[in-house]
Amino acid sequence: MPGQCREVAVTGLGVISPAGIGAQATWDGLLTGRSTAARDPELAGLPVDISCRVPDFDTAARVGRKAAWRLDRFVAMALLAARHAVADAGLGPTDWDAARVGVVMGTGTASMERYVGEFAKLAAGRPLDISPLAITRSVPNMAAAEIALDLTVTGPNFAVSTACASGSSALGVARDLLRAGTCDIVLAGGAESARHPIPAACFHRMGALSQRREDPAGACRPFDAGRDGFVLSEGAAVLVLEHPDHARARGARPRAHLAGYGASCDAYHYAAPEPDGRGAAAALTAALADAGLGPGDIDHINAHGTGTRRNDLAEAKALHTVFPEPPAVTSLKGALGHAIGAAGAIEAAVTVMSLQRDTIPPTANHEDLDLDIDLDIVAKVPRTTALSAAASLSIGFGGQNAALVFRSA
Amino acid sequence: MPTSTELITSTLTETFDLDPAEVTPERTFEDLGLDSLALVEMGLMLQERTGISLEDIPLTTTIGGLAALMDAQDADKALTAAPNSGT
Repeated sequence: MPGQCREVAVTGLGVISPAGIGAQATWDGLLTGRSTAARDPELAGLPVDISCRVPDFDTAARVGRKAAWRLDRFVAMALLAARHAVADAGLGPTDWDAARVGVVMGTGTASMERYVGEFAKLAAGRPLDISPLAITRSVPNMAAAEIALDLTVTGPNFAVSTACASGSSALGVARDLLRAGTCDIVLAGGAESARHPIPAACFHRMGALSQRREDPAGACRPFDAGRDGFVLSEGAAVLVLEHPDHARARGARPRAHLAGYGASCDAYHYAAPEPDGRGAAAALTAALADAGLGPGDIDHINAHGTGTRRNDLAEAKALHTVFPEPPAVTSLKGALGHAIGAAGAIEAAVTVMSLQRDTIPPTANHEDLDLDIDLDIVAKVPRTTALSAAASLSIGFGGQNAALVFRSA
Repeated sequence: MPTSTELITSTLTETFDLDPAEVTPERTFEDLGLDSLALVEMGLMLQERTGISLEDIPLTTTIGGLAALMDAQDADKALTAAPNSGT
């Protein structure tokens, strides 16, 4: 049984994103520098009716009809990402002690996709017509639970929720299970499909969504002077995190190492980030210390970069607080939109691929840098540069922040 | 217009990935591997398709038995609806 360890191996990736189904498809899509945002028929009639959708995601076709009937979209995406990640890691049931395989999945809003229909039944005086599965389809823990059912893994299994930082927080908590020697393997990440009328109307009323409905592909503009909000998105990512002794014993070749995790809370406002980015800076500083690295060791930041006025400014201040000279920054949200609880996990997976390939994908739609931001934003085309360590930062409603530091394998 | 048996069969095969050859009138829902929640869910799907309300179907019900129940309810509904149909 492995003992305590400092950093853990990332041995597999599974990514389902609007850029494509699969980690490689997502990477290839990101390198084009193009946005995936488009008009969304499911949001027709709302003031903001654009989103980033995972293409060709038919639940029954993707995960099989045996389970599809009881799964909401975010759970089905989580399940497919987990299958991809386990296959990518070269793992199967004979390679693990199922009781020592954990699953930790983050989600922000969980799922509201069927609630409009269920509420309508209630309003029509038909409570007996409410589906007995309304809860089990939608509650946050079901992504992790369905992955366990699918793979028959019986270790610690739960959800983590820190709004838009959920995917990153889940990876950090999963890392702790490995570091403590509680698990040999943890499948961790995030899943979300919030592009439904209730979240879309809600985020619009909060002033968080881009209003560029006549130009969906140009809507989300991280760190750009003309940014006006994010685009709702969906997706899932699962990373196979493995105790280094376990990975070594089975001859697995890590893609990268998860070396540090830091978390904090602004304790400032229920929705807005602390304007100077103090909480985000604290999470980053803690992650660096946890990894035993200094600011000068970090070659690249995969930013939260939502494209809202407030987030990008606060995040830039956080980066300037932590780094005397902030390294090259990208935000995937210009291309992928904001997948809320899945975003941090998708961004972590892409950070791992960046380290493997010494390449930073561009920030879609970043054209004119906001002069108050003053960061080196990778834009228009990918940047090839030697990368030995990179950080991924996530910032959630509630002021909850999570930072991850990855090191090349 | 599909018969009740055909509606049940298509709901089961399309939703729960059952082999159509397995779905025969004498099989019970329990035989086919459904649990009680799946059965309630199937009842709601049938209700959406037919307007017939199906509550508390036991797992030991056969497909043929449920089809008969639906046909009987359908007939009741027709009888209830008839007096008003001309007004």
